[in-house]
Formats: sequence, C-alpha cells, structure tokens
Amino acid sequence: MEHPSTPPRRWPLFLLGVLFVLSGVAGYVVAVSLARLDHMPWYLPGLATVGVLLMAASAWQRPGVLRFVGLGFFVLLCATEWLFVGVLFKTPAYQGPAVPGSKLPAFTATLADGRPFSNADVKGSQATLLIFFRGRW
Amino acid sequence: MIELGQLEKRHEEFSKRNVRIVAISNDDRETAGKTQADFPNLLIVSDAEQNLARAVEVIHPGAAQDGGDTNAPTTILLNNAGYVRWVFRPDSVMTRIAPDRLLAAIDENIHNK
Repeated sequence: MEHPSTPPRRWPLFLLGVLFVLSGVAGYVVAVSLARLDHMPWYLPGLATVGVLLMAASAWQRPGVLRFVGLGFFVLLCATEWLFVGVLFKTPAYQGPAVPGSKLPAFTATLADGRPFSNADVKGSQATLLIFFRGRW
Repeated sequence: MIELGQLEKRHEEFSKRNVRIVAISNDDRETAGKTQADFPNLLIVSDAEQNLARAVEVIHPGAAQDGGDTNAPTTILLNNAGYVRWVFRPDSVMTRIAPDRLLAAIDENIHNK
C-alpha cells in the first residue's frame, strides 16, 4: 500500500527573515532604553540584510505575490537603515580651532538662567567639560 | 538628551574630580530653562545665536530636525586655566560617549593618571 507523498518540510525562511529584521530594531530600542549608545549600531542594517536574504531565499523557493510584496517592503527598510546608519547620521570629523594646548576663541552665550557665559568663564578653580548637543527635540 | 541624563546621574563623580559639566545647544532660553530643570547638576547654555558653536566650529549644517543647522555632538575638555586638553566627536549622531570614557579622559588629561 502506497502512502500519499507529503511535501518536504521547509524552514520558515520568510518568518525567520522578518525576525532577523525585527531583532535588529528591538536591539536598538533596548540600547536606547539602557542608554548604551557608545558604539555604532551596525547590527541594525546588518541583521536586516541577513533577514532580507532569508526572505529572498523563501521567495525563490516558493514564489508568491505576498512574498514578493513583503520582500520589497523589507528591502526598502533595509536600504533605509543602511542609508541612515552609514551616510545620513555620520558626523563630519572635527576640524575646528579647539585643539589640545589651545585656548577657545572669544565667544559670548547665555546660561539658561539668563546670566552671560563667555570664554572668560571657562577659567577658574574647576576644569570644564563642554558638551555640545543637538538640543531638546 | 540621553547623554545629559547619564551625566546628571553620575554628576558626583565629575564633581569629585573638580570638573563642571556645561551643556550647550542652540535652544532658546525658555527651552534651555526646561533642560536646566531636568538636569539641575549640569550647567545649561542657551546658544540660540550659535555664537559659541560658530566660534568653536561645531555646527553641523542641515542636521537639525527642521533641516536647519545644529550642533554636531562634540565634547571639549578644558583645564582650569581654560586650555583645551581633549576633544572628542563621535562618528555618528546615533552614538554617545559613555560617562566612563569621559571620566577616564579627565583622569588622563587633567589629573595625569
């Protein structure tokens, strides 16, 4: 008696691919929430790339409209991640006048409480750490 | 702002090293006042006219959320005579220097440890 043939079991590559992409995003969210941002998050586009390759393999094995639409979406997401991490969020190298051994050029600014703050105020009994940040968004 | 939160939490370690933390953005005074209230142990500077940022050349053109100019994240350590001892800029706006690394830079460049 012959058994009806069953299709070979396949790895759920598309789902695995989605999980890879999402794990990169989740990793970045965790890094932000733990304030661990001292390294470039290359894992974000890296994991997305692995995920997209898995989805492409899935679409190759079992072509279908939904798979191709999903693949297209995740390819765009992956490309966007590479664009932001690798290009748009890069900062230019510092080439200004504040080099070790020099003094700061003259400047005037205002403290949050309205008092003036100038280059004369960085001299005194304490060392000073100037933190330039992008502002309150 | 994440960076400021970390520095606020560990401000005593900077105070012990006789270092004050001055945080500068091009926010107006009202906004800088809110930031000062959130981080009372830091000194917040409103550099709305970008006089300081221009003098030190830390402006990142077109990098603000509205497409305008903003500060490129940059850290400058000065000794008490006002001389620059150390400068750091991350290679991406997605990264921030960790307080431990700042403390190590202070020990190395101010206290010669």
